[in-house]
Amino acid sequence: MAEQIAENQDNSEYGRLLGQEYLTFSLGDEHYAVDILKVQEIRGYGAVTKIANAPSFIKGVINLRGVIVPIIDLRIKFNLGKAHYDEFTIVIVLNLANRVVGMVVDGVSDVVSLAGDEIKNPPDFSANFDSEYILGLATVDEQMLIIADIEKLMSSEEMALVDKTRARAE
Amino acid sequence: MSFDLSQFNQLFFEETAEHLATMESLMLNMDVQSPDMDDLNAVFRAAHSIKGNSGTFGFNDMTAVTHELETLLDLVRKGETDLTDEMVDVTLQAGDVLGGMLEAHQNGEEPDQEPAKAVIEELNRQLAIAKGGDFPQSEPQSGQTFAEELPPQTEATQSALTQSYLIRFPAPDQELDMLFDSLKELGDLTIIDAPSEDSNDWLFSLQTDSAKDDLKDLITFMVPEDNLSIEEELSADDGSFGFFETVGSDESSDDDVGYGFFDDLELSDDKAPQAAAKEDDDPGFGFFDDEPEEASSDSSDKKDSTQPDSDKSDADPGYGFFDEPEESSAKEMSSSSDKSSEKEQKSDKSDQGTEFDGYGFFEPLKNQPAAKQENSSAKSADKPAPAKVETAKSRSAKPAAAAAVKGGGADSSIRVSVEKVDQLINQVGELVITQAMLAQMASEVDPILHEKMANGLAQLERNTRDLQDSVMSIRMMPISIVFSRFPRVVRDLAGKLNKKVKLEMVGENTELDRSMIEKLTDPLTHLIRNSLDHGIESPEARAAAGKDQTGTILLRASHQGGNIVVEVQDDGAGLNRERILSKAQEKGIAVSENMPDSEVWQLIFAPGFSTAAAVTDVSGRGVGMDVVKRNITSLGGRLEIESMEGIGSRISIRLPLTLAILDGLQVALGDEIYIVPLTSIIGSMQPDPNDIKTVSGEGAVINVRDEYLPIIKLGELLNMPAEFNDYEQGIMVVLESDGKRVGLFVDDLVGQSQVVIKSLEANYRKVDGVSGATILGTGRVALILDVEELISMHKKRAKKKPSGMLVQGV
Repeated sequence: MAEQIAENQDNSEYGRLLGQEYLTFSLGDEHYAVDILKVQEIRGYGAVTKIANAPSFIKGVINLRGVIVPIIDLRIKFNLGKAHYDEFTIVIVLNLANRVVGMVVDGVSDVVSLAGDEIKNPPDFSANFDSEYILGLATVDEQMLIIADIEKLMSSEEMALVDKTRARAE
Repeated sequence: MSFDLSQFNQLFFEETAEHLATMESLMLNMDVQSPDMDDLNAVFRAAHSIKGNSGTFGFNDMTAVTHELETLLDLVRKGETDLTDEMVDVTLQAGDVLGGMLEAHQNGEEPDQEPAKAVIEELNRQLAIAKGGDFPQSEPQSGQTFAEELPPQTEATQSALTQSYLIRFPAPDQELDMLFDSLKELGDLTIIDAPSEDSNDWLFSLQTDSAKDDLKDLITFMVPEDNLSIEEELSADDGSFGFFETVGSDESSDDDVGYGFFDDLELSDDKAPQAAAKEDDDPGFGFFDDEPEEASSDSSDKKDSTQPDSDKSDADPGYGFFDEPEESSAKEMSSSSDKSSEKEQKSDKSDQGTEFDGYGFFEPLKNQPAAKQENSSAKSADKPAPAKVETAKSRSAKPAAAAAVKGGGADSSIRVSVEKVDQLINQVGELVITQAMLAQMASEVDPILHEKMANGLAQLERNTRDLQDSVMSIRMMPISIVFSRFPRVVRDLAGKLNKKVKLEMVGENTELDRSMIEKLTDPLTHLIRNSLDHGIESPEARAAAGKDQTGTILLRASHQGGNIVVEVQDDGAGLNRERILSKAQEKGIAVSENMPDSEVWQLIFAPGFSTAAAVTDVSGRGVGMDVVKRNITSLGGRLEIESMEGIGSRISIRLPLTLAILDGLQVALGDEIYIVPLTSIIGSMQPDPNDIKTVSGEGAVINVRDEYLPIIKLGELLNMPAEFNDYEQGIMVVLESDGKRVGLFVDDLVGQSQVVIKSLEANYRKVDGVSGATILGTGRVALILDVEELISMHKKRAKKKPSGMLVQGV
């Protein structure tokens, strides 16, 4: 009980640190937000080269101006929405810890500025999107935004984006 | 104002390494009986630069060693003693010690002082001998710092002291020791007034031949400029002027008006009259032109002592970029050597002063060759300098010196991080792809209506190709970087083995990718050691065989088609066919008496193979050739051996031009394209179903020329959809890796191309069976297959499925 009170007190402090701009995107019916400073660019989906023996949510690699960038589909990874690809399919290219990763999303919605106290601590729940990778929740225009710790997610072993030894070292 | 030198440490390390290399190569080529004065001077200059720089940067242990070395070299250089073999040895030894220290400092470690002490002792011993034994150990000891005056410098300053300056500035906050040390290097420093209670100023006089501006630059590193006053003392020698001194006040400087800027004004005193006659004063070169003066000062013997510094004249603060147009200035000089000339001597003035400006960062090593060439041409002033240059180059006896010197001697250069270059290459690659895309789009429109656009695009294509070529060439370095170390290897080893060996090098300027150069060093060293140990016979044996007692090892690099070929050739005994065959039998390698020579030679690459009768510390343990082969293979290269008994042998290494590019065959599988390295491809065929057999109904083999090869279905192995599953429709590519052959079944062959290798791991992870990725002309990514890994993957799969038996091996 005491812990919980302490946590609530920390809440505003916790949130203030996060007060900044976020890029919001949708996956199925859910809305997510990532730190805009981690976003390198947004581009269309196309010309993906499949990789041998890769999990299904890793769509392959693309050539991003001479750099080979892996593309993952979060919709497949988290069973959200239908994974179909057309000319409107969007890839958010993220720059995380000197690695470039592209993620396929259903759509990019907006850039929102969230003040620290607008972000609430996530409750503990079990979901595909493990709460470990959620920094907080916020409400914008009566919609719940899930603020994702995208760096932690992408470097997790679960995503198989990084060599195991490297993942551990990081 | 505080000034942190450590940020320049890297430059110091690089530069010192270069100096050490020059020193070594020059020393190795030194003819002990009649040493070349220019070479001696060049060695001395290198030592001197190392000493000066290491002192400036506070690596006093290095300063101590170079100080002793310099003292010894100076004696030789001035002809006070004769060069001996021992001196050459100790110089090389000192070079090694310095190299070790440099490395330690570079890694931020404290170097081991023991070898330094030993070498200093040895240097002192040589010095004592050189001086006739009456100087036992009294010569400068190791504890000294560079700040102490050295014989050469004292002499230099005395002979050329031309100006005395009164310098005054308020005492700054920080230590001035370094500044004073530097000033002492320049000349005679007398402190008149130190800061005390009634005056806060430093006042001292400095007698130097440096220009006032140089002094100013030096001092303003430590002291705010506005409070600094530098005045000339009238007591100085006549007619000396600083850089910005009144032009024209000297009667001889008329034709320099307008160029006075960078032109170290003449010191037209009477110190080197004979040099004056040889000097060139072409105003067109006056700008950057320091060399001629140097040459002239060299040519007058009594000016010799200015040399240690004179090569630094172009290190004028911040002007290092304006490198001498060496050849042309040399030419100019000789062609117009009868022209009026008054500029000689000025180098004396500026050179010493400039040594510490900018701490010599900009001092290009390459000036030494230029200086050398010009020195010699100045001596025989009517002989055209360029001709001299050529003879120097063509003298095969001295290829190393020429190479080392040449290698650095090209034009001005800048240091750029490899990362930046790689980025540039990437961006240009991207540009090429964009251009191809545009061309593709343009081909869809009416070429008559859009003629101008088509022309523009055609030009864009040419330009991008040119740009790509230029950018790729940035990574290329002359192979002399590797070659230059071998004279030393050969010399040391020949001595140890009591053999007489001459090393000749051809094509040191052949360029190849920098990363490859680094990886080539070990295999080449090994091959050369092998040639020396096994190839070249002892002088007696050679004499008995009617050969010249001195064996020759020829190291040659050349371009052949799209490859670089490096050959190590010796005129020794050649490989012994019988011995290799019997050894192979001993080792259990399948051989037959009537194998062709070429196959017999390849046997020496087997692990653990050595035919040396006795194991020496040089070679014979048989852990070598297989490693050489592996290293070369990992560079995408091939090894070829030719040998004739009693005549000699030649080992050729054939390498691709660059590591960043791979010759590959594009194969199609489903929608994807994969690249198979050409080096592992034996052939390809449309399989005849009759040749394909199954083993236990699962593992399939194909009969290729009476050999059953296991079949790898690429699609199955990589879990990728293939267009054809039926052997009749697809293509079988026969691959070989590590002596194992397999048939790789793919949908189709697309074509052969050179591809740029990209890392998949930079942003993703290692993928089994794939060594990297590349970008095709279409802009798509294609994976490059790793044949060795594919084969082992296939084996593992076969083992997992107990029902699927596979024919192992070949």
